[in-house]
Amino acid sequence: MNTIYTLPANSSLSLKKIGKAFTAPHTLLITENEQEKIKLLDTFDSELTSSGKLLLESEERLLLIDTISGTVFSQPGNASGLCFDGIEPGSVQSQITSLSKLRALIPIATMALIRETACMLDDEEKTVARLHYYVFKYKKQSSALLIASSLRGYDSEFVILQNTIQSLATDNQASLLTTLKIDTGNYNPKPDVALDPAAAIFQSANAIIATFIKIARQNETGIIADIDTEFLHDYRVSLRKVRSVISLFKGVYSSDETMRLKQEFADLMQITGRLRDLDVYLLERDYYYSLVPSSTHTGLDIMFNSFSEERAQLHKTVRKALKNKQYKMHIETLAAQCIENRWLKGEAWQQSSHQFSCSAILKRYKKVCSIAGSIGESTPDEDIHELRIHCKKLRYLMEFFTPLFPIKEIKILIKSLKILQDNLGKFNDLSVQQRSLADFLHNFPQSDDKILKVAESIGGLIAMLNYLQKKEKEQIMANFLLFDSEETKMLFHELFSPEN
Amino acid sequence: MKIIACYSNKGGVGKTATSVNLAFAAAQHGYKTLLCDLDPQGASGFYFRVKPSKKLQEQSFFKDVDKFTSAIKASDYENLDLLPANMSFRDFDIFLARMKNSRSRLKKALKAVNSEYDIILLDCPPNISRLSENVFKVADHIIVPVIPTTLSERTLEQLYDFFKENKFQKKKIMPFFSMVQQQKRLHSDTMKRLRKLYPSFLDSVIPSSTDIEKMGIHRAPVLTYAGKQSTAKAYNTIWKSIEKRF
Repeated sequence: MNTIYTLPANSSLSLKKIGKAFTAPHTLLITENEQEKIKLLDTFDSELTSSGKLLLESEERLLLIDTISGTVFSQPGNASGLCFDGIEPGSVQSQITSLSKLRALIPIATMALIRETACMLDDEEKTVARLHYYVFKYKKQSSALLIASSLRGYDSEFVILQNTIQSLATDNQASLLTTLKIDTGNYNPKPDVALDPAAAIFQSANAIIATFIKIARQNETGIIADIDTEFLHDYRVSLRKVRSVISLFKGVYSSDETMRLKQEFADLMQITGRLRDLDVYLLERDYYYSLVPSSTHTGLDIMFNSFSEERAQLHKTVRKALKNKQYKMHIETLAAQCIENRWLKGEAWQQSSHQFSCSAILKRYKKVCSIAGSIGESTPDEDIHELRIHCKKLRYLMEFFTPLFPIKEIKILIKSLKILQDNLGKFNDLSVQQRSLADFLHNFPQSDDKILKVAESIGGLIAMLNYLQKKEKEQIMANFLLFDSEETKMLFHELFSPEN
Repeated sequence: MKIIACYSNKGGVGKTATSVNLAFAAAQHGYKTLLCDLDPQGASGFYFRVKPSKKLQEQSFFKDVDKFTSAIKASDYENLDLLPANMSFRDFDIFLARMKNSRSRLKKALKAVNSEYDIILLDCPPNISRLSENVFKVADHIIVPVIPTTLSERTLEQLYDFFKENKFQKKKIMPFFSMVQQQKRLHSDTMKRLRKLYPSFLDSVIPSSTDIEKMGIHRAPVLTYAGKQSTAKAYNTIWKSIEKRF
């Protein structure tokens, strides 16, 4: 068991003082006292600090303090700039396995750390409890953590230790990062935008768009620095959401304005499309290798090397584009126009957000049901793609308008849709992958003597992906039937009928 | 979980030193280890500065699982806990003999801590008794320190005979040479002969060394204060030979 105390660093408490406060037979032995410069690491979306974990990196050493359980782990190695798989196995790494595999760890703050360790001893000089004391200094702020750890079989000694500490200091309550004024960024790619059900839908649409433009922009630095692939992914998802609002919120903007905005945001996204495709291929690299026999891996080596090279080149172009003044002005102007409600209104702009959202969601839901209802074994792939697009639109609508409806119910509906969507998404990915692999082969120089190897690998891969796609297709009917239950139907009508 | 017993039917062969150092080596190799001090004359608790347990009463040792687990104490080292001997264990064997089904009692008690530990190391008293029979049954491996002298040779023979008579698994026995004085002709001759007779003898030997004697001063495993010396290295090698058998 551990007890953890957050203390102001200027509190007069020190390990020595605790030792002095002990009475016989107990004494305190300080075993470690070090001062070092450390970096606090976390992912861009604060996965670690939001769960109370402080990952600290000093020269060639990692320290993990779990401020909730009071456990401390340490191992050799570095983690700056690395995703989970890049960190060497060790006691720290084994504590952060829940970390997203796609997110890299980045330095949030560079601090000075004084680290002291001590043992509480009995008259046989046996350790009966342990103390870890950390003083953090960041800019002009400082704060300290004191962790008292009990040892098995020495419970009464631990009570003495706890009482001693409590007689000397009081817990500061506030979290360490708050006291140190360290900004973890509070990045959230999926926020619920606060909406007023009675407000004009034009207002709500602008609020949603402004939020997602902001999220997209938060990712620019990460894309430019090429920290991990999630920055580009989130950037594109956010802009896609903006485009969805523009196209799905029919009549909110004038038809000319809708056309113009659609084009403007499509143009913004166009430059990053291929880079994202390449990221996906490179992330799936191991999976592709596992799909075909090792005798055909030479061809895959050639293909992936070509992808890597193309990605490196393309990243330079994207980086340049995002740093470009014109791009900045363009996206800033769009954001400003949106926030200032300057886009031209359409005929439906005044509708209440609640009424508008109900009819938009119900209409889309009915559309999904009518297409899915006609799907059978012989349905062409095009129709399945269409179903996927409508499902996606339905999902976006429900997510945009979540704050307007009872949270529990709408989450149930989103969840029931998600299973079907995942299935459709995989089906689509497999289809896109086959097409682009065929394109790669088609564009491969015929004169190159490696073409046979490449053709052999890609041929095998396409056959395999085609087989997997058929498997996915078989699942779609079953998943739709799950989604199409009477309860779901009732809940949809109940939740989204404008009278309610 | 593996149960490893350190056993010798002859006293003064370096059995407790072996238990203490092997338990430490196991813990250092990342195994959650519990060292049970079953030898009332032994001092594995002393070497870890752990006082004898008052909680463990003779009557409750195998009966009351909670008391058994609550008597366990952490050592000063990571992954290593201790079940310290209680002086009332002295009549432990008689106590066990009186109990019906005593053979399964030890197993039951050990089962209670099964999931917490990877290794349970038993430092056993130096005799053949009901307790040791229990140990022979439940242990996966039995480490036997043997001083290369004629007397030790006889006790090892007795142990093998006892296993044969009682149909215990002989392959559990892992003897090794302890307190070896390389310069003594008697020692080297005996070692040669015994290795031929019992091929299960481990390769590495523990020399007779002042480093081991100093354990009483340091009150810590040899590996903590003389880790680079040959004795400490030999304990580590013995640990690795045991690990190989898992």
